[in-house]
Amino acid sequence: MNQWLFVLLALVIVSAAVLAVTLRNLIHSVLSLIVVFLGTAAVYVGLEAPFIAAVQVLIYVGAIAILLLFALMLVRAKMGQPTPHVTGSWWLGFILASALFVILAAAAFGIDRPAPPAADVPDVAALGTDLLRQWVMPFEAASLLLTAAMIGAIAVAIELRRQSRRSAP
Amino acid sequence: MSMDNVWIAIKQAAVGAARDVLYPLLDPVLPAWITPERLMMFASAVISVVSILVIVPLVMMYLTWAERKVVGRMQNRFGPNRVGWFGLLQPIADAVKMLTKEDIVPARGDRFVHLMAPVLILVPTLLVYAVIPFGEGMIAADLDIGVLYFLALSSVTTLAVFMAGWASRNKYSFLGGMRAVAQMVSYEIPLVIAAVVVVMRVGSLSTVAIVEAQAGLFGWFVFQPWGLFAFLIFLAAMTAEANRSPFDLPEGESELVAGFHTEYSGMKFGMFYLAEYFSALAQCFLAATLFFGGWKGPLLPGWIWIFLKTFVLVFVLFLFRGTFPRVRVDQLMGFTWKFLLPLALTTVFVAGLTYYLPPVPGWIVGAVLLTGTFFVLMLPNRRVTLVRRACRLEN
Repeated sequence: MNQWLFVLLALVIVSAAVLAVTLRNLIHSVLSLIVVFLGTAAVYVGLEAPFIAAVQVLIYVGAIAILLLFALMLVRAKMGQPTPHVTGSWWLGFILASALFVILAAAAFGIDRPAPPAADVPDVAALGTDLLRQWVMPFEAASLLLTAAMIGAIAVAIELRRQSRRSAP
Repeated sequence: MSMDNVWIAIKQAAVGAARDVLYPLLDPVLPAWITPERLMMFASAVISVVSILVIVPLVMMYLTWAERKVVGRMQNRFGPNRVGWFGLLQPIADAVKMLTKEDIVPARGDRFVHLMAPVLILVPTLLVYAVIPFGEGMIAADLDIGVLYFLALSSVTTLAVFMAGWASRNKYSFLGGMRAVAQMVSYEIPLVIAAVVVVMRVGSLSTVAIVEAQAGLFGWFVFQPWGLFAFLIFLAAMTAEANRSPFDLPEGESELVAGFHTEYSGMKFGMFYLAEYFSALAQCFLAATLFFGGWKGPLLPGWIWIFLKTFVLVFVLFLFRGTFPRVRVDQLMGFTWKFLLPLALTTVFVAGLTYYLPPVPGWIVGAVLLTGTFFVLMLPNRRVTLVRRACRLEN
């Protein structure tokens, strides 16, 4: 990947990330978070991992960002109202974020990085074969977890609906 | 010499010119990292991009004209017939009108997001044309992940629709935007699964490989039971994904003025209009590629075949618009979650099962299983609608 291209993308990503946490309007924050997602996808393209890039756009921009926006719409009835930056539990978030930063920084600088394997970019077919042969157990565990979450969500929704029906008439 | 070869010849000529003429000419002023290979790649990309940017809007212009003509005929009208022969200059008149109209931004709206929404909706709808094979070798980028690239980029438009609805600060826009997002997110699932059926049978995500797998007289996937059902699911989901009638609730005039683009005027509205047609056309191209063998066909050159197939699908969309009444919101969601999604999952199962059976018994087993599922799924869905209607009548 071209170094200057990376610097440019990194600038875009970092400034969008800073905007995401500093903007007063929550919708604007989510929109700048989406810029971060798209920038990361562009970095993946530059690293010759187009599959990961496409999945990043499909999952993060197409699903998670929409989910965030929906959640905001449901929680905040008033559109576009600026919200306070700091909540009561800011120190907890600060500690967790700094701990994560320290761990990641230690991991990134602590190890001696091996040279990346040259010209061995796995294509999508190899990725799929590996996922469904060698790593099939984690794959199935993840799908089981998702199914359980889905059934749980439906169960909660049914319970809520029953309650609202009982109280309605 | 067929047209396919003409386009490839143009491309090769441009690449050759970049290497033999442009490079020696510019070599003294260019920085060192621009090698002849990079310049050739650039020239080839420019030719592809320019062809897409010329052909797609041109086709779109006349799609609007054709739609108005077809729907007009179905409603016993003439459609546009004042500007030029048969109204053929109507799209140009419309474009001039769009460009000269006043651009209005709601006073309390969000100016920046309001501006970005039409831009963000147009970019991905044009980018997806990169993976559509218009003929043998006539593809801008034969990506390893073609189908996935298409689906990923078309999911970005949902976001733009939300932005448009939210930034307008208008309750009709907002409701339209929310409806559009809910609808597009729901219909994306059967759409993706229907495409996955084909990907699973071919064993590749590349659109070129998918077309190559459909050779022969009855090689098109639509002639297989799983292919036919996947195509029908794809057609329904793609109509909803492009917000076209009968699934055009996000812009239902009778209840929401014009939905998410109520507060847009002039060319910004024009960009939403463009994006709707671009994405409908792109989805039809993808359907022709996935299920109708893309450029494959006897006698005629490939590019004519894929355009013919696509226009037949587009015509089907026009027929939908002219004949079906708009569905209700609960019907819309019930249709995708209770009918399309289970049917799509069954299609995946049948496609996997028949892969391991010999062709003829596999065809029969697949047809029986899928038709059975279709009717079984119709029963509960029908009962729900009937019971609701009965309840309403009692009340």
